[in-house]
Amino acid sequence: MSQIILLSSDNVEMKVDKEVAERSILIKNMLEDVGETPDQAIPIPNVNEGVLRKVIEWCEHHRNDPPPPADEDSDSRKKSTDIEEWDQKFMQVDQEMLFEIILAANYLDIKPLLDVGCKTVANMIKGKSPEEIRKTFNIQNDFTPEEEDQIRRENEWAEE
Amino acid sequence: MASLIALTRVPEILLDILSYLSNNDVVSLQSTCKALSPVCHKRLWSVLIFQLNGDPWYPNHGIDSLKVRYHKLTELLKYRGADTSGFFHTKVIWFGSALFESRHFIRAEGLRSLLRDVLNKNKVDLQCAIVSFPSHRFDVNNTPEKFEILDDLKRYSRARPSNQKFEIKVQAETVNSLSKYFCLDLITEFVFRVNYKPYETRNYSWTVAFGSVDENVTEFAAVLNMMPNLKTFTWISNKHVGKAPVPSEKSSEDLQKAFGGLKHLKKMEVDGYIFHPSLFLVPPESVKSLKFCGNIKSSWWENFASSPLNITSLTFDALAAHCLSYRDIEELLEYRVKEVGVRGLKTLWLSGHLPSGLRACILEKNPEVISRKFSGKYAYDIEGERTEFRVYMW
Repeated sequence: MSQIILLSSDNVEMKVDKEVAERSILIKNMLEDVGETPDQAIPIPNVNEGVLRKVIEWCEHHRNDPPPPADEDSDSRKKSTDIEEWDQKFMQVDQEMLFEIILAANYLDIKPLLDVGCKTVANMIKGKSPEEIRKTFNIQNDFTPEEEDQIRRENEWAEE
Repeated sequence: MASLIALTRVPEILLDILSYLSNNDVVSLQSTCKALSPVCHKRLWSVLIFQLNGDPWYPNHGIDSLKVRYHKLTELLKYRGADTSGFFHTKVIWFGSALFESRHFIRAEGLRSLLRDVLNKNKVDLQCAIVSFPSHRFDVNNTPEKFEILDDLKRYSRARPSNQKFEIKVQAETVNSLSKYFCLDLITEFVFRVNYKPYETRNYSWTVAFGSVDENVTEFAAVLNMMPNLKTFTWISNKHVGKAPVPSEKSSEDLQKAFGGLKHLKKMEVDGYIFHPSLFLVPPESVKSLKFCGNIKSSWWENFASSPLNITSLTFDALAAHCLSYRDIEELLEYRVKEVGVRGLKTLWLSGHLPSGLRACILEKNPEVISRKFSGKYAYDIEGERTEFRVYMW
């Protein structure tokens, strides 16, 4: 099986199976453009070593996943936040790593990994009060109590 | 450092996250800090669903959490004079039962006039309008003022620039005034629900027009002919079969022709039966996903088995044996599937009382099935397969 070398933003080289790296649509397209398997390392300028290793770990595990159904109707109405067990464990990382993975998945164009990341964050927000959300994500409240109250009032229509 | 706040620089990711949340959660998130507020505001306005709670007549795909307290919205925008700039973000409006209800006439009236204003003054840039056509609630002829909003929507639909994505999804219980209120060529999803009264043939009717079955079939075919861009079609009717009249050969052919003409149809779902339980309509080649629920007769099975179908997903959710009459059960016991014309399946779900041989035949011709689910007492084929069947189930 042919392998390629990826170069992280902090200049660490990593050898991966081509098939695994091609879970990233960005890399897949790049390789298609080049035509043959390159000898030189492919620089991934936005992703550091730790994050890239994590992303490759995910790609390794999901290397044989069937391509997602090309359903044009990616219907916003039917979204569930269920995450399969392995992915849940995979996402049990500190928050900085979680958001780095999301950003890397977005940059590298790995849609299923991005979905898992977004669902994980969504699950961390679900059912919480504003104060609990601030605590969870370490957010500074820069609203005055009046402003916060106004937001509530302006959005009364949206709440069940 | 990567954090939730830092994601505001990549709003499409943040919106992706928000798409998994209910309106309540988004409001909570919006009040946490100034940085997150605008993107939450955008998400709250992006989909507006004016459907009443507990409105049972349409599969609602879990959108309950996005429903809008429409009277509060009307109050805010119409009576407290807040600006309507939120509509600028709106991509989808579900014109549902809340707009047409008679119980709270004033509220519904206020909301209707608000939305009419938004549509007429082009204050919204919609990609999709979903309409629960309220024919089952009102007589179109007696309360025309309730339908003025649909006239406005039709005008709005016509004026959409052709290079922008815009589609209409309709749920209806009648077809006879659809062309009056909709640009039918913009309809991509059509859910048709019909209430037969099969046990009283005299009252057999499915439109307000009370025609004969052939008139009904012809009328339905004519409407389908005007929906060339239909992608999803769902039919919902009674599952139990009484003395439903059999459509004539000619009108069945017309209906088959109409279905064959839906060149963009991808998904077809039949819950109950279309006009008569023996009538099997061959879907157009574009269809990739088929689902049938209800009491399926052996004559239907014969037609299904002999039709060449190239689809990826097939679901039979037949009635369980205890829901069927002895005659139905016996009829089905006598019938055995020996050959099927379906090819290319990746997903196969079977449940309920099905003819023997069906599963084995389908699996034999479709070795690529990767997702399978079988349940129901009669889903196994022959004695020796029971063990195998249990393996599948667990």
